[in-house]
Amino acid sequence: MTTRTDPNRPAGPPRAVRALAALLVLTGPTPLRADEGSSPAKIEMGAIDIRSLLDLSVEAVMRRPSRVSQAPASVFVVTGQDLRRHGSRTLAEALGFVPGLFAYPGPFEQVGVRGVGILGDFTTRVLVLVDGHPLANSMGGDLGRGFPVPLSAVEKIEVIKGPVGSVYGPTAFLGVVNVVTKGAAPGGEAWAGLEAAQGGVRAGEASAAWRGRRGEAEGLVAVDGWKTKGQDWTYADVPPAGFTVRGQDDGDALSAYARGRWRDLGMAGACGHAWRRMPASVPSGGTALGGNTLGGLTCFGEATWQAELSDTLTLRGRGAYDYFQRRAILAYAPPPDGIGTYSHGGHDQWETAELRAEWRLSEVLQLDAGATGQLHQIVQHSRSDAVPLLAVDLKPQFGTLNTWLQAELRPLAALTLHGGVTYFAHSLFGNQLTPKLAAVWQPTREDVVKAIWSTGFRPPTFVEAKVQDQMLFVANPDLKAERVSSLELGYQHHFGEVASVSASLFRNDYRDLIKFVVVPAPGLDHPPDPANPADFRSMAQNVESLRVTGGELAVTLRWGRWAEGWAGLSLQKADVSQRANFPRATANAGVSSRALWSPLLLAARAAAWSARDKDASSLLPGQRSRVPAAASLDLSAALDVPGLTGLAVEVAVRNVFDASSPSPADPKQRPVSELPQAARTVRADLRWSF
Amino acid sequence: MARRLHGLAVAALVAVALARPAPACAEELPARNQALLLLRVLAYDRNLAQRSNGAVTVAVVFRPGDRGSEERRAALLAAFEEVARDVVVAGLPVRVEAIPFRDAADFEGRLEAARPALAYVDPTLLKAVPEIVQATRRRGVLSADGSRNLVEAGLAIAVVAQAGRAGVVVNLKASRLEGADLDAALLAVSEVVKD
Repeated sequence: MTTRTDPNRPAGPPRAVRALAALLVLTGPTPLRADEGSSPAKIEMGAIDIRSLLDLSVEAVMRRPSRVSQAPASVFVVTGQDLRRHGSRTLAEALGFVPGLFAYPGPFEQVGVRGVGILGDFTTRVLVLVDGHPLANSMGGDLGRGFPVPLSAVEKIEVIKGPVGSVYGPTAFLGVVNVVTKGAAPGGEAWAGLEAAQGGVRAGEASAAWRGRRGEAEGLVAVDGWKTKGQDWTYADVPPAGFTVRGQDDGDALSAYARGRWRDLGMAGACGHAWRRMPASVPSGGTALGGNTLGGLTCFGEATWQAELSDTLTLRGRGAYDYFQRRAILAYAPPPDGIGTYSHGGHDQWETAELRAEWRLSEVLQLDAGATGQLHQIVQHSRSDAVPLLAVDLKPQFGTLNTWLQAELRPLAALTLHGGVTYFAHSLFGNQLTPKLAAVWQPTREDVVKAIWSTGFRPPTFVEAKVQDQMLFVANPDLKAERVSSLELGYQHHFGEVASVSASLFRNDYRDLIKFVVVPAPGLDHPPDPANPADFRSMAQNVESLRVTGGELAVTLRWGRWAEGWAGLSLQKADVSQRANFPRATANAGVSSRALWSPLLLAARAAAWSARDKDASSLLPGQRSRVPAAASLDLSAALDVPGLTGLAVEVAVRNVFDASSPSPADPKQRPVSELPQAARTVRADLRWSF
Repeated sequence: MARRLHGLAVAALVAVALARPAPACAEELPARNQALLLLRVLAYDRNLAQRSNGAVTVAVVFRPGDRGSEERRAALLAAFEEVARDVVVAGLPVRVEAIPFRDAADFEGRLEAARPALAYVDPTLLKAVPEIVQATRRRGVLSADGSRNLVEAGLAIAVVAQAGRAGVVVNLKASRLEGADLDAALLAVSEVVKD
């Protein structure tokens, strides 16, 4: 019998030291080299934790690749396969099942992070990136159908919970969502499907994506089209006995995305258009059936370039043009009972120039510095076709400059220290300095400890501070920037090589939070009538400071074809007694399996939220002050058709129990104070991968 | 409305049905990642020492005259050689060489001469998999690829990209026929397929 040495359990230096040394050598951009004769310097492959080779990498935390387990932030990654397994159709839908996040409806789909979901936020506190390209602007964003990148082009979605102002400056306030399209191998897919709900076919969608590579060039093209008749909506809190709006929720969306790269040059561009009617506007004070619409267009184009000046120094440049447009139309009664058709909206377009440098000073110290400048031109307009006096046209311009410096230091093989600071200058709202410190300690192969102090800020948006019309908004030039400081202690442990559990404790201090508050319209010649929305306006104010303390527990499982999934529970408490749309607990889970039959993939996902208070200013007499705890369950199945390589049939059921699960409504939607989730929906798709 | 949607769905399906299916390379990892992962997989083979001859030799099997295959051969050779400079597997140094596949007899002769522990098979050799695995099973060479399709056709190992993360696909029966005894710790993180 021969004597075997188990290469997976080698003797010698501590395992953690070997594993980290191996990672440094094998994953670093400038690998250590050992001569053929110097075998003691070589690394035993059996000593490398295979998880480190299978581990996901993320770019959003430090603007360059780092492993999830080593990144100085609380990170969750939704893979493209996860999107497909669970039948996700929009970014908001996918994010709603991420541990620690919760989705809530409104004129635009939005997500809250660790309990904080500000009503009417318009996604101005979560920074959304596409391959690092920020979509943040002065008017908001769209995580729903207006998102400009088809999900079929998405390779993964990186979600950072907590502020990342030290890297990105403003908007990275509650967290960051980086939609990654890079990294996939050549190939393509096309799919088409139908959605049925409330007894009929309600929507259809078709999508296609193709990736190709030839020599040093690679490219990606994706397109998606969607059209819906919408659903019938019942607003339980609006008399009489639930106001139902039928047939007023149709809409459509079209998005296209292309990306190309040749050597060190890259180009990318996207456009997404979405239009829909707004049924929730119908019961809100005089607007007419059928005439209330919300439309938008999000486009961007960028060119990137990089040059490796030496083995240790890399320069990267980026130039971009962005355009974001939003327009709402409200159909009030014609004079003298109303003001006729009223439209308000505008656009924000901006040019961006960015230059950054990555400098590896030694094997233990790496620096990253850069600057991003933007010039914004905004057009904001409101007008009534019947009352010309209501017309408002604003065309301001402003500029921003964001400079940053990050340092990563490895004083010990098992310890990495991170420091960073951002200096952000805004020509309208002043300057901000935003630091961050973090330590990542990996005492053993199975354990990682992270300690993170990070900060962030968010200047007022132009809409919040400057927009004033005669119908909806009152300007507030005295607004200050919101600020957040976050402390987090996280721990992750791997059980064998198939499961991991992570736990974190966090404390987030938010100061000078801005939200729209309903105020009496200026210049009224009578006391404001609570039942008459025309007597009120929305005004952004620095309403409150807030301390949120909590903990999060998450489990991930990767067990071959048997099961793959995650589950998370986030508990948090605010230091104020009544905080609108603040769930003290959120729970999310997703699991999929091919255990029954290899071609058949079964998947389930669920999300639940504890009871949430409504905004007190939105309540009318008789309306309840909070919505109860709620949950949503989705089931899906996908069958790879045997004998037809690449063809799959997919069926998914959203909101299986047809639960209403209402969420608090934005006060601007009075008298609607709560919004239900969509009714049970069955989706059936046919997909061809080639 | 429903008729229009139905028409849209039918048109999309016709369009994709007319598209010529491309070679199965939609799950390909970058060459360096494949090299790292395959060498790590070899370390899970309890019989590696018996299948090696003082060094762990990796053979990159390609189709001569096929431009794409030769490009992949060059990329993989470079990746394996780069990684081999820094690592050992079960205490053994790593060697790399290219082996052309012209016919079964020539291929087996080259395998016998090189005595590799692992043969990485180019995806253009899909139709030759039955002949290739006959040789690898007789010579005790673990066969591998960067595509799930070839594993389903009879190769033992694939390292693939699964939406942002790397994955290992193992044809357990094939790996045993090729003389490997893979540790359960590897199977726990792999997708195991039936031959």
